[in-house]
Amino acid sequence: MEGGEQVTEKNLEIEKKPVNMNNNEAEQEILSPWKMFVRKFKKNKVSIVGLIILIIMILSALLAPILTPYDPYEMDYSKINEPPSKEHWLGTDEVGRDYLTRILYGGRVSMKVGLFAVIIEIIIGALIGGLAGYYGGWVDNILMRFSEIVMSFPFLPLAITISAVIGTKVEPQRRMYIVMMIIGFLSWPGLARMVRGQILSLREQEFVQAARALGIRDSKIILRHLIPNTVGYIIVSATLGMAGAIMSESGLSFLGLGVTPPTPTWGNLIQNAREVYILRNRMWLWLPPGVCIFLAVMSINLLGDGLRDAIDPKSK
Amino acid sequence: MFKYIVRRILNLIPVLLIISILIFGIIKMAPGDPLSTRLDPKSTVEQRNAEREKLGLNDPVPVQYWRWLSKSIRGDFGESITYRQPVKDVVPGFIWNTFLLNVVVYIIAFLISIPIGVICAVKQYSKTDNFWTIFSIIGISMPSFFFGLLLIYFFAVKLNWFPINGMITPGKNAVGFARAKDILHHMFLPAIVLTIGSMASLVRYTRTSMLEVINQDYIRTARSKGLREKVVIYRHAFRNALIPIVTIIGFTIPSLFSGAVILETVFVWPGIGNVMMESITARDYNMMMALNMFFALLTLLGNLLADIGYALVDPRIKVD
Amino acid sequence: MDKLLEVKDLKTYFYTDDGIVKAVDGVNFSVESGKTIGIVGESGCGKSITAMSILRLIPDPPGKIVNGEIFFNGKDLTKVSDEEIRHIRGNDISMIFQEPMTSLNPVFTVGDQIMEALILHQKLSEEEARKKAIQMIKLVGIPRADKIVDEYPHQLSGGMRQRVMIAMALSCQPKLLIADEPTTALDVTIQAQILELMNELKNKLNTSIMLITHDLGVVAEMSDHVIVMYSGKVVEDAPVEELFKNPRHPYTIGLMNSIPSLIGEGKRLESIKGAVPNPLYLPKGCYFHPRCKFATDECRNGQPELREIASGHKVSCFRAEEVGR
Repeated sequence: MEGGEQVTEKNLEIEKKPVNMNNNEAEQEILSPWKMFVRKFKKNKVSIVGLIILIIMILSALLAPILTPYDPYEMDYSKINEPPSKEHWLGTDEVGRDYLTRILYGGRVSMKVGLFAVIIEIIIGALIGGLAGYYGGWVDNILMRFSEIVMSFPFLPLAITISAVIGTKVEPQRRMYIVMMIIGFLSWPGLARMVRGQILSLREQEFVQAARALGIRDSKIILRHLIPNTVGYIIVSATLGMAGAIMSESGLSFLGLGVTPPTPTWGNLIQNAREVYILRNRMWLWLPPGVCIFLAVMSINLLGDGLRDAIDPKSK
Repeated sequence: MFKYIVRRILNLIPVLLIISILIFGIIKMAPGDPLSTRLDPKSTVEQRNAEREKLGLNDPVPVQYWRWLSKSIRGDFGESITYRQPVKDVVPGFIWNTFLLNVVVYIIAFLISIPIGVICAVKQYSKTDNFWTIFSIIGISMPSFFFGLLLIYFFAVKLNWFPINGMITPGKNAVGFARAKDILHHMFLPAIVLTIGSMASLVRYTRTSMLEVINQDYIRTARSKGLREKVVIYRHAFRNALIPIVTIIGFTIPSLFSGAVILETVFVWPGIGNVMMESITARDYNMMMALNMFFALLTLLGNLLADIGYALVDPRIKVD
Repeated sequence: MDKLLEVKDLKTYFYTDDGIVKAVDGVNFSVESGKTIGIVGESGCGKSITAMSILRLIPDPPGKIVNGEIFFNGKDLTKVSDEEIRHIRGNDISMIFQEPMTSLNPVFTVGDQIMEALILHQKLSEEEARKKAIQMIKLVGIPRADKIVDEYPHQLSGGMRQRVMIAMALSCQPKLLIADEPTTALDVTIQAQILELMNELKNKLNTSIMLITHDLGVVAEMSDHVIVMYSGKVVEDAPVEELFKNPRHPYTIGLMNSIPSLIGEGKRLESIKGAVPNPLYLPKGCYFHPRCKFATDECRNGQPELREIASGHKVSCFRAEEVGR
């Protein structure tokens, strides 16, 4: 898409216009980029709410062993399919496991899958985008062709197919890792293109030109100048990417092709509701995990929006 | 322009080939013998081998790939084991069902969302804008299957206003108008999920694109000429915001179809997504490959459409 | 002489999250017909905001004209209806902006953009407007006008685009042309061409020009009268010869000493120490005192008024009489 790119890059360049608002404020207070970022972010109330929800969800997942006396895998056939009670706030499932415990531990898995999928995405995306943008020429050509191809993979059908084919060869406890990799390997091209655009416009800026003129090694320029200047944008798209990854994982698991029981995730816990009987009569089994996915994804999205606005020099 | 389109289409062919190799490769890795569901379990090893030889399953993988590819180019994707019919005869019906649900909804969503997005951008931080911003963030963060389940629970199970799932009432065998009405009745809930989902991202996208444009210098120029605010917004600003919006249209078409996998499972809508899940459960490999290729082709066509749209609305793109 | 435009005690404030920015704070000046007035100052001194206030192009929120009158043709532009100001924009008063690269709409042809104002204000038909557009493009010195009219802005160079902007601004023969740093983004040789063109057209069409710039050289060449602004206020106001011969505000003097001169022996260039104050935290007293080598306690505590020290020469400085080059 040579044609299409022109415009995208142009937009990015506009975004990257260096801002030197600090000069004027020399006498009053000098705001480091970090301080300015914090100040802008703090003003964004909605994002703060998102951050708080997210922290609560992460804490409750991490502290699951303290918060609940039950084990997420221990079955108790004397207490199957119980409705919510004092002992079991959200009842028990068909093999007598405490459902709230399953949800707490499920959150661990869901968020872990989301996090690692995004880490894979960043590593591949930043590397490919960085190399393409920095070296240009045929390197850029090949890498961008490659990422275009990956970009035109139909995500969900392909993820389902891969998961169905490879998944059967893997024991249930390991499927989590397969899901991370599928999501990570299929979703990096967007990030790669963004990083490439950033690097391309940075490369033309004076401080990089100066570093080059001084004969500083490529690796050093990349590490010292280019990566620190793109890291903000990477963090933003990683945050929004994590929301997407959690969504994808829950969708795959809901279809039975993501993380599979006995490992709990929010997505596969909702699977129960595909039975009309459970949908109708045991709301506590599908409503809470659904709300959890919604809240997690929303809070991460809000956080990502806030980060983007705070990093973007154009916004106030 | 014609040349540009032809060049784009030619560009797609190698990409499609690579995807086809990948898909073929993945499916070849699948465990289990594709014969196991076809043959009498009591058949002898010799019989099986003869059958394998006949189907070409003993040939090297590249040879098998070539055979599959040359056949599928001619539209022959082999026989579906679930339907016991050639894949190419079964699939179009399902595609149509998915198309019916998605495309109708998408056009409606599109026509509503764009003006809303424009208004939100023009009146940034107004009550209207705040409402739609909240709507968007909720819509974007809501997993479609969970939203679908909620709707089924309230409107189908509790209130009994709509059928729980399916596309037609079983055993009713209605025809003509009555059939259309029955389908619409079944379509309502999944349509709501789809509409709200696509509206959420479209409104947000339109708003962002418009905001980006509204602060540009040329909008100030347009105002300084004494143009009416309506002309400034809908002619000068919107024509520019349309450039990114056109792209998103191209990209959403394929994502609608692949999103159908989840939604159709929830509503048991007999479309392409539902068949996809069926073929996976039944290990209907011919079907899986054909569907994957269909989705890939659709994605590429969406990209092509985005490219063409881009060239149409942005004079800066060189077409020759 | 008759005053075409008269700005009285104009105050335009911006209400930001961090506080009120008094971008324009009590500005007075007037433009006579057929003359050029230069408005000079560093970036952020409020000169562009003054210009945009005249056409009511200040984005609201956060900006607002809180006080003052702007008389044009006997009408107070701050009070007229939106409909009326739209009739004035592009028709009686038009504007050229600093950035020729981004001031033209990328998705419309050059011709379309020139024709728009003609169809709107002069009620020309599409065909007549097109003819007039071609004529205007010729007038601003672009060759192959009948070809250029159908080209898109990205096909033109920066200088050409600025010419197109001028053609667009002058197409309805406005009485006043506001040019906001029209040459800053251009190469020096093209700068001279554009300025010459503006002068030529001014004489041909008898348009008044309000030229906003930070470049004193441009002002000396172009204007009849000069206003120097600092931190939202007018600090000096004088006819152009008087100002250059006899500058009285330390800021004006500083600006003059910081431009290299080709004539005379190579004096050392001076710079004005410090930076423009943050409009949110303006110093007490005269806004310029922290950077002024003449500052006394009086300057630190009280704000000087704009006062006439010679006929037509106004300065706002307590020590104007003692200060000189």
